[in-house]
Formats: sequence, structure tokens, C-alpha cells
Amino acid sequence: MRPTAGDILNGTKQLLQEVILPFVMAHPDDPEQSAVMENVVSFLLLLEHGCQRWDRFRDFLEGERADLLSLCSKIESLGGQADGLGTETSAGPATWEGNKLLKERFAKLLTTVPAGRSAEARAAVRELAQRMVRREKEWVEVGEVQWD
Amino acid sequence: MDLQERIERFVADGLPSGQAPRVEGLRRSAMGSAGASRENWLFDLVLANGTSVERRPCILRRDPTVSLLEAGLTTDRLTEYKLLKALETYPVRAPKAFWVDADGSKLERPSLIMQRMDGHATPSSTFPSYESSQLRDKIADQFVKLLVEIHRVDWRKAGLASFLREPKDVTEAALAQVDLWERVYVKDRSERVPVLDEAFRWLRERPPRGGLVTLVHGDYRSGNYLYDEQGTVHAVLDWELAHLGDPIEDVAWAGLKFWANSQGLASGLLPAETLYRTYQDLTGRTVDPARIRYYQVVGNVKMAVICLSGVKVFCSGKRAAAQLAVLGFLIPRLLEHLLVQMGGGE
Repeated sequence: MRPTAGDILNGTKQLLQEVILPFVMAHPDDPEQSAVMENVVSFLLLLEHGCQRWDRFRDFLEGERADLLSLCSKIESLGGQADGLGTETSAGPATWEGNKLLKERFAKLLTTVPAGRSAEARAAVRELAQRMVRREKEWVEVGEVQWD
Repeated sequence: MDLQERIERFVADGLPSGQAPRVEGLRRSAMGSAGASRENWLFDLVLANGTSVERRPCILRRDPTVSLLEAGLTTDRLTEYKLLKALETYPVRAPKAFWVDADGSKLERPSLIMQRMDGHATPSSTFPSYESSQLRDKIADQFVKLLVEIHRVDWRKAGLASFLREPKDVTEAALAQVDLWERVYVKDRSERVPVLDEAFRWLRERPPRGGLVTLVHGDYRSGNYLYDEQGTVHAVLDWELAHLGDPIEDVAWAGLKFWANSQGLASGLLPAETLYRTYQDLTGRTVDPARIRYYQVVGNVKMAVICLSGVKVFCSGKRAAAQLAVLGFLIPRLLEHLLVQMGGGE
């Protein structure tokens, strides 16, 4: 069904580009002009990101959840315990809130791993972290901010 | 009452009676790529005294309605004011502080009015590649020398310990930074970040030992100094994260890959190895690679936490400043650097 979220984001981007930004630029004497212009440009960057990514967000969350679940199982196998925290999030579609809970679960598991197996658990964390960071880096590649 | 009138009244209160200061050309400057923590208002203050008229270029640094670092654990305008006052006699090119409204009762929010100095900042947080190599070399030379001067400040004599926390030694200072940024992380995060959890553990396991405690700028990089086209650095800015600690913390921060330009130059100015070697030659202080690595982990953690804090402020609807949300795009790169530095990355 149209308009999709992408269409709405795109329309908002167009409004900022074609109406708001020229309006702001036409008022150089306004004391807030440069601050407002900077804000509008940043919103354009966010909207561009949203336009290109909105319909893939579920894939991102599913991938993240799969990694978190596999890590939690691994830490549990090493003796970590979390009293069921976050287990309800493993069924149904992945959500941001669900993954957030899984991250809490994972942290709790990690603190309860017996000392003798802690190094193994942390190695597993590093491995997961690499995958998560790779995924997140790819996710922000659209419109990524460059300093130079 | 508008801001201009507020400033005029506030300044008049601190002047001998009969003087009526006038604010001219008041305008708000853009945040810049990473300087999103304060509102900066530029203006000229015109002070008439009898027949003489003084025009003083000023900048008002005011806390935003919601601070970037929501936890409010890191900075306050009164400390910044006291520090700038104390540094006036040292060759560190800190701007002069004129007035402070510490509780915000006069200027709506805590604010500091200070000298607006000549020169311009780099347009982003690294020195731009399009500038000439001659200009870059001149700035790079002063960049290192000014850092050395900051670390040479006799902080006891300057009275800094009366308002900055005095650590027992470098180890305690390093762990205090870890504690500080972990508190902000816990308070300002929208969700846990496993890499940061791991980084805090990593930092607590191996704090640096030995060395002198000095004044640490806390955000020494391109973007935080003013320079001109002749290659003179006129001012070192943004002292709000200054503290007493390990000087290598500043060296490592300036050398962070995160601030490097597209050619890989530290702060866009010089190779990181040259930065470390020059600093070592000028100070006689050993720049130990292990300590650099430690403080680069601190630096990446700190920057990631600042970004998380900005994202949270935006996402919670407390400040519609998209610049804060954009900070979120920087986090994966910081986490990637962290993993490499901790030994778990590619």
C-alpha cells in the first residue's frame, strides 16, 4: 500500500530540500540561521538514510537476534545463568526492544560465568562483537559521516 | 526579554554603575561536526566609558536545554570559567573568560562569556586535506608544542586542584576517567553495547602505572583550535573536559584513528608516530605504545559514549537536533577501532 514509510520519508526530504532550506537561506540576518541550516542538513542526511534502509530494518534485527541468541546459548553452556531474562524474545518477529532485552540477558549471563571459564566466554563475546560491528557498519554506510 | 537584552543586563551588573554595555551582531554559530555540547553565541560587546569606547569580541557558551551528556557528570560552566581564569598567565592560548552565570539565573541556562579570538576552526574534526602541506606543517608544529605547554602548566601553583579533582597518581586518574565514562554510559545509553561492556572490563584490568600527573585538556584535536591562513594557531578551545591526569591521555586522543584524515594523518596534521616521537623529544617523557593503546581504548570508549548520549537525547525527543542523531552513524567505526585495539578485531 502506498504511501510507504519510504515515500513519506522521501516527501519530507523533498520538503526540506525544496522549501525549508531555501527559506532558511533567504534569511541570513536571522541570528539562528546557521544553526538551523546545520540542523536541516543533518535531517536530510538522516532522511536519506531512512529512505534507503527503512524496508530492511527487519533483516537487520533478525540477524542481530540470531547472533545474540547463539551467544547466549554459548555462555549458558559455559555456566552462565540469567533466570529467564529475555527468553521471551526468541519467538515471533525480531524487534528492537526484544534485542535490547537479549543484550541485557547476555550481560547477566556473562557476569555469572564461573571464573575458570570466563576467558572462554569473553572470547565468544569478542567474536560476536566483530559480527555485530560489521553488520552495524554496513547499516550506517548510507550517509555515513566523514570528517574530511 | 530576549537573549541580547539578558546579556546586556547581566554584563552591566558586573560593571561599575553608569556603564551601559551594548551587544551587537548577536548570532548563533552552528554546532560543528562534533561540538554539539553547547550553544555558542557570537557577538561584540560595546563598552562605553566616558569618551572612550571599547569593542570586545565575545562568545557566549550556554548549556543547551538538554545537555548532550545527559548524565551531567562531566562539565559545568563554573569549572570551565575558573580554569580559563587560572590559565590566563600560561602560554597555552586559552581564551580569556569574562563572566560566568553558573546557575543560569541570568541567562536562562548556565553560561560563560569569554573572549572571541582571531582565526577559524577546522570545518570538521580533522585538519582538511585540501589545505596546503606548508600550512598543515606549520599548524602541526604548534599543535604539538601547545600540547606540551598545556602539560607544563604548574597546576598546583595555578590552584587547579581547588576545583579539579586531584588524583593520587596516574593509575587513579586513569581509573577515574574509566569510572566517569562508564557512569555516563550506564545513564545515557538506549541499550547495552556489548563491545563497550567488554572495553570497560578491559580498561579496569590494566590501568597504567607511573608517571607525572599534569593538566589534561581532554579534547585536544583538530576542530578545537583557531588558526589563520598564515599558519598561526591563535587559540586552544573547548576546555570543558579538562582534568588532572596522565598527559599521555591527550597524546593518545590526538592520535586517534577516528580523528585522522583520509590520508591517515593524526588529527589531519601529521603521522601518529611523528606526533608521539616529537612529543617525547620535547618533553623527555616516554610515549609508551602500551600506554597509547590504553588511552586510545579510553578515547574510543569516551567518544562512543558521547555519541550514544547524543543519540539518546534526540531519540527521547528532548532536543530536535539532528546533528545529535547523526552521531549514531559514527558509533560502529569507533567500536571497530576498539576491537582492534583490544586485540579482538580484524
